[in-house]
Amino acid sequence: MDDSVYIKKILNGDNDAFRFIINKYKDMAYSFVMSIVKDEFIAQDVIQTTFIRAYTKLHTFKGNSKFSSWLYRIAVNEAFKVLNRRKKEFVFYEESDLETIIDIDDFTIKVNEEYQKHFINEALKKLKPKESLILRLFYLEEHNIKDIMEITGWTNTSIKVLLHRARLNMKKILEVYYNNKTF
Amino acid sequence: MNELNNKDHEFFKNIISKSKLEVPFSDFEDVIMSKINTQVLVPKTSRELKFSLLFFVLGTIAGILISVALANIEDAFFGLSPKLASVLFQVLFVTLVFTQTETFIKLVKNLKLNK
Repeated sequence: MDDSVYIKKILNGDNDAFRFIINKYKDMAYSFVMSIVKDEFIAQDVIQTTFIRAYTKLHTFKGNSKFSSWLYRIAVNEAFKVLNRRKKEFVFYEESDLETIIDIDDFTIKVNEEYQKHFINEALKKLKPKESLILRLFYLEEHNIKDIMEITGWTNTSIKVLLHRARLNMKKILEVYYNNKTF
Repeated sequence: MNELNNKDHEFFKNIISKSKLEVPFSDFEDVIMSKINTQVLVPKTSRELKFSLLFFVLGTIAGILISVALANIEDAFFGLSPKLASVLFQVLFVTLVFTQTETFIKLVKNLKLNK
């Protein structure tokens, strides 16, 4: 069933329909929020706030964009709001730390799948929030630039620049893991 | 997109596809639904209940004033004698007050239970 059917049901007071929406989008929203806040407990709070806000503001969703984009925009805004409020010192990867570039074939072939998952998420944690977010938005759910503009509110140019920088930094981080034989 | 970019694109598509996280809390939906109930639905009902109480009090006051006014009318009222019209109105008014009071008490009890 299409999201719009569930949205109509929720607006008519059917709370079970909202459970379906939570179930459908919670993991992806959580992944995006984790990209920004880097802490699973803070991410849980942000996701909860996101869904509660989505529930209360659902009547304002006009269907001009995809429901997922609308929901992810709330999640991303909430996450950045929390990040700015907390002013917590996250340890982000600094470009000057590393020089070498990974041989991408080596990485995908030689590294065990489970370790890959773990270290990919660790590497994403080390990236700056915007870089980590852009990689997940672009590659994980394969949003196009227009969708990403809707979700983040960033310009076309800044998205392309961020994407380029994020790819570069991600490769450098993976290279460090790879060379240190962490896996 | 040149060859290098294609290679890069495939590489990132491959690795980032493995970065999807799962919410690590099994009761996540229940927690949200419970929060929606306590933070959104109950306060909303409580607000509506306050409006109901306000209009109930205003209606009761208006009913009492109309009863008094009807008791003072000496001319026939819609073909009814003033006394009969006054009695009919008072019966209707008392019935309404009692039924609405009962509904109101039930609502308050339910609201306290939900809290």
